[in-house]
Amino acid sequence: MAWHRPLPFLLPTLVFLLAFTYLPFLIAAWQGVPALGSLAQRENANALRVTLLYTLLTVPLSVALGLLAALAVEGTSRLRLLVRTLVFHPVILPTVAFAAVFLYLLNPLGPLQGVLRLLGLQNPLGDPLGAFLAVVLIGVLKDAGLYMLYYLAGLQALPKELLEAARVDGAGRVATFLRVTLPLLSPTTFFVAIMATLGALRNVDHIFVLTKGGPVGATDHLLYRVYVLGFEYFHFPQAGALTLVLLTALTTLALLAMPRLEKGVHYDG
Amino acid sequence: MLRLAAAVLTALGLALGQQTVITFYYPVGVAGPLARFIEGYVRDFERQNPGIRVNTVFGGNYEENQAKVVAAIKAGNPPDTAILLSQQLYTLLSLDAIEPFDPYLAKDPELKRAVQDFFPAFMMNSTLDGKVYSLPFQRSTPILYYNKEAFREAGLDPERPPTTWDELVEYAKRLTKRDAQGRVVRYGVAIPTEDRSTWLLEGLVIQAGGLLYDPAGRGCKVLVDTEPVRKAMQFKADLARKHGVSPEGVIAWGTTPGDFAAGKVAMIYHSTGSLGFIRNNARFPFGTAFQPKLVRYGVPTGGANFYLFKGSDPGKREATLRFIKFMTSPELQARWSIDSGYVAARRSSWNLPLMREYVRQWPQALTAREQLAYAKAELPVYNLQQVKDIIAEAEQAVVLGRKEVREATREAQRRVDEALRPFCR
Repeated sequence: MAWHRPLPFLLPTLVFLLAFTYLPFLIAAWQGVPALGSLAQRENANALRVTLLYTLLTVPLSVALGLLAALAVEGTSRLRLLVRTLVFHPVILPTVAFAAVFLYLLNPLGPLQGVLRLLGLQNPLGDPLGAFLAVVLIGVLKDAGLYMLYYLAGLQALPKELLEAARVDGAGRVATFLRVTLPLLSPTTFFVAIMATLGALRNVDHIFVLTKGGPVGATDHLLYRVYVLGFEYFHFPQAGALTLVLLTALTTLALLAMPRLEKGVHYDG
Repeated sequence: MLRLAAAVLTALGLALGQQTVITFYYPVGVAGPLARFIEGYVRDFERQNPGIRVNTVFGGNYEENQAKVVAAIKAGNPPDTAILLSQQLYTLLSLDAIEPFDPYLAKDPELKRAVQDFFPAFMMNSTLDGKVYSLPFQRSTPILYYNKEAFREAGLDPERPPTTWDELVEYAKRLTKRDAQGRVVRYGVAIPTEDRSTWLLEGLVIQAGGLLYDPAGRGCKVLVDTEPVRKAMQFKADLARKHGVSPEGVIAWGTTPGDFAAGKVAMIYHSTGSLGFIRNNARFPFGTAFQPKLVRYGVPTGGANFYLFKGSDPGKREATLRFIKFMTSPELQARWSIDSGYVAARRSSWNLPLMREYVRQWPQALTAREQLAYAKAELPVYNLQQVKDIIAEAEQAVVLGRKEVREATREAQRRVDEALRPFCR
């Protein structure tokens, strides 16, 4: 097929993407170029640190939780269906609503008061570490259900012969999981890990609801900072500059990570 | 079918030909169904003025609404009017987005009367160089709310709220209640460290004898590194860390009225705009009072005003002014005050039978009005949100015990001056 054949079919989408996503983005980034020098501020450095920590924590945790949940609820018994629904439920809730529930739960005099006190967190959202952990927790719980679905699909597609062969060879459950299931699931893991990383860098709705970047900047995610710079301080050039930096970092990360990660991935057929 | 078609055509005709459509952005800054009230007033206005249709845009909280208005301005599509914080004056001027009311004041005696009838305290943030840039709508002062039942239980006189900082601490100690395991079931007092605001801090600074800015500084001089600011921050920090009468850490603004109404905190500092919510949700008798003093009473005024935006054509401007006059009329201000708890901004509102009856039933509503005699303008400054964030962060660091107060205010002063430099050469 000639390379230009699909173009007419892509055109409608392309027009809208250009008009409402790419073009405004390029304009904003362009306006940001002169402000690049002004980014060396303590607040931005802090936001970078917060974002890295947030990503490093939420990605492995939500992927692991998704996998564990999938293994736990594989099958069709009633109880498993119930658990599956529970884990999946946060996915279909709007993040803002989900976060608002936690605003109530994590209130210093709220229903979890006793549990929180045991953890030494009397007022989690009013404490830098507590607020950061709360934001991580919600990020993980919100998306783990979706990853569970991917893993469930992945598990169902596993070739049964290999699992049987492993059993015949006398491999235990743990060995089967580590040596057979997990490597066979690697395409799913690869995909889910990328989704989770993008999610950690893009989804900040719960920060708006729960912490507004505080206290003392403990949850000041880069993307939230872009919003604050642009739409609360109205320093549009700086917001554009920070967007540009964020994009460059992401692209570099993707280019570096893709080939390395893919090496370890098993693709069937 | 024909009738329906005719109705549709008439509506179209009205929309296209005879009707003036104006756009109006508004925020809601406190708990409760306030957006519903505002939409109701707008519908009443439209019924009385069939030639005008008001296109209302609910913008979210104050910050979100401000962001939407600025985005609309940047997109070349400014609203005809919007309710924005009275202290946004300098930011809006630096965006070259607003116009003063003065040309219309000269022509319109009704408008002129209105300006003279507003409480002077509510006009302090509106005027600059003798020009009037905004008219009060949802105005407030922060007040002290206290739970009379808890007072009785603690052996305190429910008709005698604390009047000094020392008394506040002493009362709070008696009001803090623990269960058998030593867990707090009711805190004595909560003064929110609003996430991104300096409003309540400003009050404490005034009470300590200072002011957060130089009134002659034209939006350019913020005074953070001063003794009254240090006293105010230290006082807040001590409530939890030294006296144990307040939840530790940063206390959220939004959930505090709910905690009070649920009986979990015996005294709170909050906007008088939350009075409506507390009245409807507290199942115990409660009182309101002036915020206690250290050396003097005092609070900043707060809340938001109507602004006029550049780029509105004369027909729309006339309709807009008519709308603003309606919304700031003594009758509507009385209704709004009763519905929400905001202070009716017109002095003459308080003589209306409706308002007299309300005050007789809920004398708590009088506190904020009387406190106006001690009120100061709220921090008027360029680059408002960044300045607020810097000061709020310093305050949080002190409240959390992460920084010594002297270091926090010194550093905040340096950063505020830096943030103001591009605007104040």
